[in-house]
Amino acid sequence: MSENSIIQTVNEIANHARLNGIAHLHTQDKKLTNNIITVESKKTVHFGSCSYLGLEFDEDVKESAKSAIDAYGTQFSSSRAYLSSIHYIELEDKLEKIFGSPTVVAPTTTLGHIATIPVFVGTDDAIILDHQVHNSVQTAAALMKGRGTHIELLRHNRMDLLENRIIELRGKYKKIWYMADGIYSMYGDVTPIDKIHELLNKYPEFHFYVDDAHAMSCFGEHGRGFVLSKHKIHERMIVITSLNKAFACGGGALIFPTREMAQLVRNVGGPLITSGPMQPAALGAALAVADIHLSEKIDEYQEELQENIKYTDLMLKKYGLPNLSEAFSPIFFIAVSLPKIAYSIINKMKNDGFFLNIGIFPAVPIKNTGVRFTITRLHTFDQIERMVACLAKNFKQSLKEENYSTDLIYKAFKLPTPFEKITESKVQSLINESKLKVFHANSIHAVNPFDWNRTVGKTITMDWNALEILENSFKDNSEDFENWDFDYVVIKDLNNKVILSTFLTTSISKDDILAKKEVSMEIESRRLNDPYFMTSKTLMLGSQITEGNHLYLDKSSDLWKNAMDELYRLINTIQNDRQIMTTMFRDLSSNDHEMNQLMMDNGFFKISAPESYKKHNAEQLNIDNFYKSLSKKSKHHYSKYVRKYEDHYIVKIIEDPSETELYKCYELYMNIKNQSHAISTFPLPYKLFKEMAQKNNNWELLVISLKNDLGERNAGEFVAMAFCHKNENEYAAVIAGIDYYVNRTIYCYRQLLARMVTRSVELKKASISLGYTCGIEKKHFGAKTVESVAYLQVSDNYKMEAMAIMDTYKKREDGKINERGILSV
Amino acid sequence: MVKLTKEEFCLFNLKSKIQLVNKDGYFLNRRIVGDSYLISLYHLYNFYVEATYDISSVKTLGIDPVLNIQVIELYDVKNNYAPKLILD
Repeated sequence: MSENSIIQTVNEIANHARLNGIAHLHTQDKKLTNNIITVESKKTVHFGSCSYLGLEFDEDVKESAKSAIDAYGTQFSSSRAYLSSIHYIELEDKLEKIFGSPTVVAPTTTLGHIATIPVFVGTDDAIILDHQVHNSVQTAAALMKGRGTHIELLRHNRMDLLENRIIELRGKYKKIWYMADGIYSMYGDVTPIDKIHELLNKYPEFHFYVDDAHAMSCFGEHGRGFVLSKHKIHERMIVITSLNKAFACGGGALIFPTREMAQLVRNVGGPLITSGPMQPAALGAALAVADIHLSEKIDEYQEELQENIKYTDLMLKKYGLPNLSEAFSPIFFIAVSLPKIAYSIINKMKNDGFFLNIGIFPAVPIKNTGVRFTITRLHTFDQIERMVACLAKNFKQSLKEENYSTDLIYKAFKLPTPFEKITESKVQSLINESKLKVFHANSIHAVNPFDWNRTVGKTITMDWNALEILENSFKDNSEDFENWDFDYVVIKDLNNKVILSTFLTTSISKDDILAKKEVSMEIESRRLNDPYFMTSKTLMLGSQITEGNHLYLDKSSDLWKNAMDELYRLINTIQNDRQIMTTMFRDLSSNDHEMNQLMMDNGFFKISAPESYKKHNAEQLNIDNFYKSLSKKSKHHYSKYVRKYEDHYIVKIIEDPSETELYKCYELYMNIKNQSHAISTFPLPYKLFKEMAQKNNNWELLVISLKNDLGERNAGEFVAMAFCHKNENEYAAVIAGIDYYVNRTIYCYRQLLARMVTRSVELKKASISLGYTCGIEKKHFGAKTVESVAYLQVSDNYKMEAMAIMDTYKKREDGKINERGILSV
Repeated sequence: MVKLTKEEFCLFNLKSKIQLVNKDGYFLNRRIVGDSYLISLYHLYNFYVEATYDISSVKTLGIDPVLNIQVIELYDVKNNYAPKLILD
């Protein structure tokens, strides 16, 4: 197609869209309120804004723009080659902090491309343009074509083809530039940045030029965008971004790996010298927005945007709309195929009060037309749901009117239909599962200690031997809650490599196990009469007393998700056989999004779990320099509460405690158990203490007794104890007990913590796990918080009618929530 | 209104959960725990949630699905310590 005929076609399409009332429109509002705009006399919710964080309405930003006008007028009209206003310098400083690299501000992103590309791309270089790279990059690259630079197109995001082209071109051209977008403006998909870094490290001729405009502010530390959120800038990379979209001001930012490159563009980047500078109002606003990016507010705003994106994604799935966008992108593209269908839907949406855009040629192939919309932080869930519901209705109606089907749409986009997708994934899953060997046993004795101790035995507080002790302790007891069932699962591939290993326990557990302590205290008062009030038969990954990641998963294997499927299947069988009411996965990483999705897909919901505490011991740490390693504050704390009272105590590791001594330890443990409701569990059986106290295992009993009489207590009396487990690298304080009377006067709990920490140092363990609660105390000894999440699955053991007994069902007249007004958003 | 599952609801942060309860939930009852917490029970989609509200800091601390029917027993009249006195 010649250039003239492209212009003619685009003109025809634009005119057609304009005549159909969906392009070249304008707002009619004198003043905007949030995201409501009036278009063609109709009030609509704006679903086309690229200001994803809604910062244009921030009072500080508006004030800063006004102040800049007050100070410098409406323009400071001088070429930047001669003189820049102070705002420019301040802004570039702040942007350097945001991006972590030298940054130059350009009047627009397009001018930024035109200023940068000719400076760094030579006539003996080659440019590979991603097929869907933004038009502004293509425009700037076209300038190089006139100078004789080799330019070619690459099928969108095809990294395999890119590598082939690099290999082919590397002998012929000095540098090979791949030009792409960070997030693409139509489908909201992203550039495969990890693979690109891999190629940058592999081929010294390879250079990457990226326009990250749509990701600016929405992703990464300080809102530095998608590309720089995962990796630092590479020495052969240039990132161009926009300050016009989520940054909500004007201009573009050019980010370079070195100061020299930045200065070179300032010196010779044509439009930076010859084009007018940005206006003070835009610069003033940009300074305030940069401050937001350098504060914690940006994290909050990003999270709010992601919540809206997540909700939109969910709604689109529920309403069955063919969304082609990435899960985390604020740009959504609903495939419709034919332009006439898109016109029809968008007009209907406008009439229903929602302003959406069209994605059409030349941005996408003509038969891949779609309804494009964006989500911002300013949208409410209510607006989103109403819009998606309306879109689903209009989508269906327009297809009917045009006698078109969803299958034809999928065909036009060369995509499998949802049915084909499910079938394909089921078949693939069956193939993969046949490559796994699942081992399941009810006793640790059936498990290979080697497999166990080098996988999950490494990441939890207990190894093979410790689990043997747990098994012996939690059987044949008189109380139901003291009897547990054990399940061990090891899944290997055909090469006998462990992909997954874990253990589960079935026990009666308290439903408020993770609830607030006041809530547990209230429920405990009910348990005085009914010990099993609000308890459930629970299947738990790990057990009530182990700690750490109980799920060993080799994620480098392609089969890990299939191994998880096997685990879910097994859990399902156990749930049915034992009539399990609650299933709990705990101590999983709080930021593993892949696992999060998998758990959700398998019917688990996420709840926050209490924080645990762990201290890592530096390699050179020993007993002599332990005190020195503490912070100034902790040293003060240590001197005041530990060292000062050291002489009151005798500290011993008891290898073979007498029955009386052991029982005393149990009493000390029960003191804590009765006082603490932070994690609501049943008391541990005394039998466990007896098992742990046996010789020749990895448990040790650390006991603190009084040197002299102290008030009601006699010399020699035990006042604190801890059962600690020794793993290969870790020391774990699993069970503790204290005498509160002694604690009030000479702080035996702090003494116990200090002795456990120093013991781990003495044993040269890399870390000590200090369990849950009492975070402030533990942090005084250098412990750090370990955040984790738990996932629950609850069998719906109650019916809707049960709630009918509650005659207080209140409903406001408008069908919404009652009058209590406590949920402040 | 389309219904979210418990799993889907739990994917959201507290601020979003508040939005969902305000948008789609129905208030059922409330109770006071200790002197500090007001816990409200809502029917939401096909399940129930409890919203824990800290009276002293005037803040909602968490909204979590109800796991056990026995929780209803905690909402009887005896345990409902005249919340209106505090709220109004």
